[in-house]
Amino acid sequence: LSLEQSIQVQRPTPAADRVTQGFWDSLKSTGQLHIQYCTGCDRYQHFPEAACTSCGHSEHLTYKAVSGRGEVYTYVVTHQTRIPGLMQDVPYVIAWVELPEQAGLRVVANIRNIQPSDVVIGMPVKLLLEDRDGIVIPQFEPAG
Amino acid sequence: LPTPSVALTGIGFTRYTRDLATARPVGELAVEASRKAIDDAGLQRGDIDGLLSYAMGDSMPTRDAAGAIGLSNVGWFSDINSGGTFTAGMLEHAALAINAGHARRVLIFRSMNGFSGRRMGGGGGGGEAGPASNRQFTLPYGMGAAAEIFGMPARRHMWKYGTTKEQFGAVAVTMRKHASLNERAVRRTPITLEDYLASRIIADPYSLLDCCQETDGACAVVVCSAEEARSLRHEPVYLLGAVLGAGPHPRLPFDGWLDMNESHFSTLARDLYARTGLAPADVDVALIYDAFTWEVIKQLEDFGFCGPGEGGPFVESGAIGLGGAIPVNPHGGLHSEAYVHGFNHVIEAVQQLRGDAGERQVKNAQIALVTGFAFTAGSAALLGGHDVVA
Repeated sequence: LSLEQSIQVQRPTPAADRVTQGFWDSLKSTGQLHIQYCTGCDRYQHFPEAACTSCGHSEHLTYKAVSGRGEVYTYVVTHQTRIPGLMQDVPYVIAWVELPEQAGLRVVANIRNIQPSDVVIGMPVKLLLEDRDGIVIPQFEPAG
Repeated sequence: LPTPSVALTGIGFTRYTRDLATARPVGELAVEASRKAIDDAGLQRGDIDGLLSYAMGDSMPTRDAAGAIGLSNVGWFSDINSGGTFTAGMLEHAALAINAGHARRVLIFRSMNGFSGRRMGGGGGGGEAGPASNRQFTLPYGMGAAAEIFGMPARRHMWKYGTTKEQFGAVAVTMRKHASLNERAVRRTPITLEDYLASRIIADPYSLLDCCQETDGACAVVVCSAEEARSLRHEPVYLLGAVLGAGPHPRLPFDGWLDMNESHFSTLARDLYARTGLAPADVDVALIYDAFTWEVIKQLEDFGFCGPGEGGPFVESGAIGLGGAIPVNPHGGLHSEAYVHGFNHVIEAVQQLRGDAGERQVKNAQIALVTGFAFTAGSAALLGGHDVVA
């Protein structure tokens, strides 16, 4: 299913493309979150790009493991969604989770295993793997 | 003040509606608003030789509109693929075409069926969540609606400065109060802070009454040289200066934006004031892009009407109401008048500076600010009434 098709019938699942395949494959095969990384610049970037947005080259791009720790940078709590496959899940937290590996390096995730009203900016979170129809997607939950 | 080179000489707009039964095609709306703007300027269709529009795949292309409106000789036309970012920037595009000699009289329109047609954001519809390839990192988490993307920096502001829901509410209550004086506003029934706080949550911190009105409608403006404008039907409304720009990695949903406490608008504001030689105290009325309430608070800070972090208390003080220190959106804004991707702000700025705004007229309004806000990118313009230049 394409992403556009999947949202009509189920919880949306990511559809990898040539650039992002390594993101999803590395997560599934190792259970560790990997972020696109330029070995020439020693720099992460997310979302993945066809080339490093700093040096402009693509040949030094790889996916590099990160610790899986992070903190909630900011968030919203969705109570009403137009995505059919997620209507059963409201309210849910959508957060920008900042990773400690690099200033400003953030991923979007839901914060699980906590009441939405208990989420606060700055709270430490850790990686939580969700198997969604055979595709592993990175989520986060409170750490400690 | 620098001598303005162009002026807004005609305005046109359709009824703003939220009614599936009476919805009309976007092309029909575009033609109606455009013809009204040409009439308002006291010009004929054959006088218009430039045509500009901005849209997000939801409107009539200018090449089609040129025929539908009945323009016989278009020397310059352009379709900008953008949303509210370009609200004020469109005016500068017209000025560039005129000053470069490509056109003498430029018609700008924005037509959209934001209610009955293609809605912004959502799961698979509009492009608010960025390129299709990036949506694999947002849609699985339910991030797709504009409220979910623009709610993120709003939450940071609440955390950093202690900005409250009640302060968001002060914006909503003020916009609705203004709209109650505006016969064309789609929402005119006043609301109280209690109504605001009781409205259903969409994407916390945003509730229903934080959000603008998805609207069907079109707005159009005619721009020509300042010199010619002085001989036309209405007193000119001069374009004193405009800025359009974006910071590093400006795309939605702000994945590359380093510091979500900051928007790009402090930079734009600085450049706009430098370009015009004007200061916040010179502005009589502000048409501030208000797709969501917090955007007003943030832009009041960025444009220097109050200090950083002071926007919440500022809106709560009554400063943005009619009669306040800086009246904001006397027409009721996108929040309560209509959401025509901000171009209805331009219409209101012209009416205010002409002194034609009726009950909602800001007394002796001579200089208006118009903004088009998309947090990391956008535009802003300062417009001046005829007395400012004369």
